[in-house]
Amino acid sequence: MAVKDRIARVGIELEGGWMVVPPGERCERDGSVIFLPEAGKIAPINKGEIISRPLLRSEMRSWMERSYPSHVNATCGLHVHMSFRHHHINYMRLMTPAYTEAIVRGLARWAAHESLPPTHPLWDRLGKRDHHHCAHQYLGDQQVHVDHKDYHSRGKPHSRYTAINYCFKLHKTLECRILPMFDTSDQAVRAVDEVLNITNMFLATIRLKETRIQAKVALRSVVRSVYRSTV
Amino acid sequence: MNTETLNDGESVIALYLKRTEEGLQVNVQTAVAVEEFFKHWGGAQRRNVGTVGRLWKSNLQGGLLAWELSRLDDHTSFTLVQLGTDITRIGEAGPNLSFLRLVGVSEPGGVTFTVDSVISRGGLEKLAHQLNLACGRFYDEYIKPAEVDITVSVKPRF
Repeated sequence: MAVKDRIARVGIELEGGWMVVPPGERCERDGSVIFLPEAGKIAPINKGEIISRPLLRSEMRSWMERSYPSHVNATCGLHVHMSFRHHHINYMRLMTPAYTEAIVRGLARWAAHESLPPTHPLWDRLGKRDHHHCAHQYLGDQQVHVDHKDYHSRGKPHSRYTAINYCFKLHKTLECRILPMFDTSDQAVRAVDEVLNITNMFLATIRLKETRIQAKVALRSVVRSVYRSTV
Repeated sequence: MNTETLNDGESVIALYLKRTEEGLQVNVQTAVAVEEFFKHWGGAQRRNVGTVGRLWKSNLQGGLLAWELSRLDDHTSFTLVQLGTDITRIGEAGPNLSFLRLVGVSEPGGVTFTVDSVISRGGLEKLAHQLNLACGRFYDEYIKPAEVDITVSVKPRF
């Protein structure tokens, strides 16, 4: 049975190096992207990240193919932002540690299916629960209130360096930060597709009826204070 | 002034919270005494909530209105002055109880609005608990009747 697509728009951040920045795009500086000099290799002129506008899923492949960097290495991440149909309720249903676990498990299955070599950076990101860029830790309830990019948030309750970053106040989106960049744009598209599929599957399997939570203050007896003194 | 009689144990303040497609839906219902309290301290002046904060949405015609709060200091363990802001976040000022100032909270059915925010299921339960405690403190501090009986007597001379 086909799973309902609950994703409204997708935003992609491609990190890497470009000899020529694709027309219409802008390469923004990103301190985490590092290309060390290598013998016999020409370093890219432009290093950093290119960020897409909010895309329909059908527009994703062409944008990624057109904008994909010529140079990538293990320091480069591929971040996927998502917004949803019936945005708030689907967003809130993903606010659980179980979603991070589902993403890690699902991507591990996909990586095995793709026969990624053991040295591929994705394995490192999936295997290290305390990965520097994408710890497998749920901090959603604090992250949703952060209204700026805090580059010094590691170790704090709202650290953005988690596998799933709930950047609701900043972008109104949910960001999957666990993917690294891939050698080809084709494989990168498949990886992003898998993140979206896992997310849709997770939302489809939730059988959660939203309940109304009550908070009531009851009338309490009159406070009676008695003061007596004798002079 | 409107009056009503409540029996011990009846609700003075009732909040109903629910996660919806638009955000966190909040329904506030209070006893008349609560709304009269704010009406009195605000000099019966009303203020459009949207002019203070824009996160509370409602289908009410004319938008959400709140009683002004010009002659009452903010409490130290909760806040009454953050209209239209995110109630899901407990900031330094404590839980945001500004919704108690909404015009119409003591009418049948109270006032319903939606906060443009998100919260996890566990977070919602925690929030409900914190709002409940804070509403209780508000009630004890400002609404609950108190009687003081002072007697000074003179020592009898022998």
